[in-house]
Amino acid sequence: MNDMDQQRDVLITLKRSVGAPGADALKEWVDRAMKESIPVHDIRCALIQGVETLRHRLMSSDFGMPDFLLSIDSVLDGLDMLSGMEDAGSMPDTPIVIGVVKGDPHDLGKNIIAGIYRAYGYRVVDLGRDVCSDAFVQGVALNGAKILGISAMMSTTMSAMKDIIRDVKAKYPETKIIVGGAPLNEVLARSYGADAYVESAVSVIEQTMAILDTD
Amino acid sequence: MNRFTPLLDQPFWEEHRRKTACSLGGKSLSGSLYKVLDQDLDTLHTLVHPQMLYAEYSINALDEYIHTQAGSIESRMFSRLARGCSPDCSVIFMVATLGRGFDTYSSLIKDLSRQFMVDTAGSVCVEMAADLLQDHLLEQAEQQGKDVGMRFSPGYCDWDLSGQRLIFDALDAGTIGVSLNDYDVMAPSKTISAAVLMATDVPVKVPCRFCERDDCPWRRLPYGKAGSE
Repeated sequence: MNDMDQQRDVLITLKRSVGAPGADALKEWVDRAMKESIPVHDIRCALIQGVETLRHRLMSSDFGMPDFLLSIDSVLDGLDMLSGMEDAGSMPDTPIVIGVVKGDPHDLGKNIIAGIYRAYGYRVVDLGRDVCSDAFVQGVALNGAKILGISAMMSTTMSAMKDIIRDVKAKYPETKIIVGGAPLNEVLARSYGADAYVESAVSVIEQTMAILDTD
Repeated sequence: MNRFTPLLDQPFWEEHRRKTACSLGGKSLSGSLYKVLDQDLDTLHTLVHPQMLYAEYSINALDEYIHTQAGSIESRMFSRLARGCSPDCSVIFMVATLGRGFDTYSSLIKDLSRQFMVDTAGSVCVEMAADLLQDHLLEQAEQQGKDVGMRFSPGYCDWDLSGQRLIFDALDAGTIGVSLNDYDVMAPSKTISAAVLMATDVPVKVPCRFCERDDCPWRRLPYGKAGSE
């Protein structure tokens, strides 16, 4: 078996280790891939392919959300092993800024979306919760964000989204804005000026890629 | 004003464990996650100390809304329930909280899978605690020859979330460590506030009976069901 075949086999096994039983299996195969001198970009792609397989299983109800998130956790641990090891052909830098609106303490949904974005190779700047409009605008400015994600879980806090979107679009019209949260729906999100509404974590990547493609 | 501190015994915690696992997918949950969940539940069961308050208010006037001495419940659906009760109908406001121990513990969790499971466990627990209070209210009512309806909370049905302020002030919920921010969001996070009708005759216990909405995720009555609940 030559080196290329060996590397290919390692990547295939790495991809299959995403979601496999055993907390350390994925990390062991990332370590193996690094020792085989497989380019970081290829290792990341294998991890993303593994997550994508599980996401489709989640969509078909063949896999539960808790186990999907466990897989995301292990992929993020694997990606941490690669941090600082950039090489030519690394994932494109598509900064995403994300946060929960002012007055709203609920951040689980936002945390999940942020984790999924990271697992798919996006650079995420998490502003946390209880974030005012100025902080969202500043976050977009400082990071050159192409995507802004805004979350709200209460009917009393979601109305702030309209002002945030207006303020961000006024200064950075090229930034795409995605919103999510229990009290929202597609119609309301569009009326606020959002570019996309995310109903669940399952579809966030597809919807993000779709609005980036509209440029 | 009444404080209720339930005794949470072994059967309660076993039921909590079962209901949490069921909410998370039951048998579809992997063995490794079950172990993690069990460990988190073992810890939560030592940290969680539910506290509850309730108080009864007579109804001063009943039109499209329910008007009490504490303020008005601005829900046409709930008012319809009250108008169907016997004339001795009163409103009991209640608040139940798991306390800050839960929030402190969950804030330390970094793994998304654990955050998700612990959050579910907290939601299940506060609902179970509120059910215990509901049972207590029913016992109290039956001692007076009365009945109670199911709890009705601000932010659901046609009762705007701003109704939290009414309940918060009516009970002085700060005495059990519950606060309300400028957006009517309660803290600690696992806190439930609600109103319950009490009367000699409570023929309809939930407004779902009169609701024509066919996609409500919080419906508490099967579609097409007629008669009392």
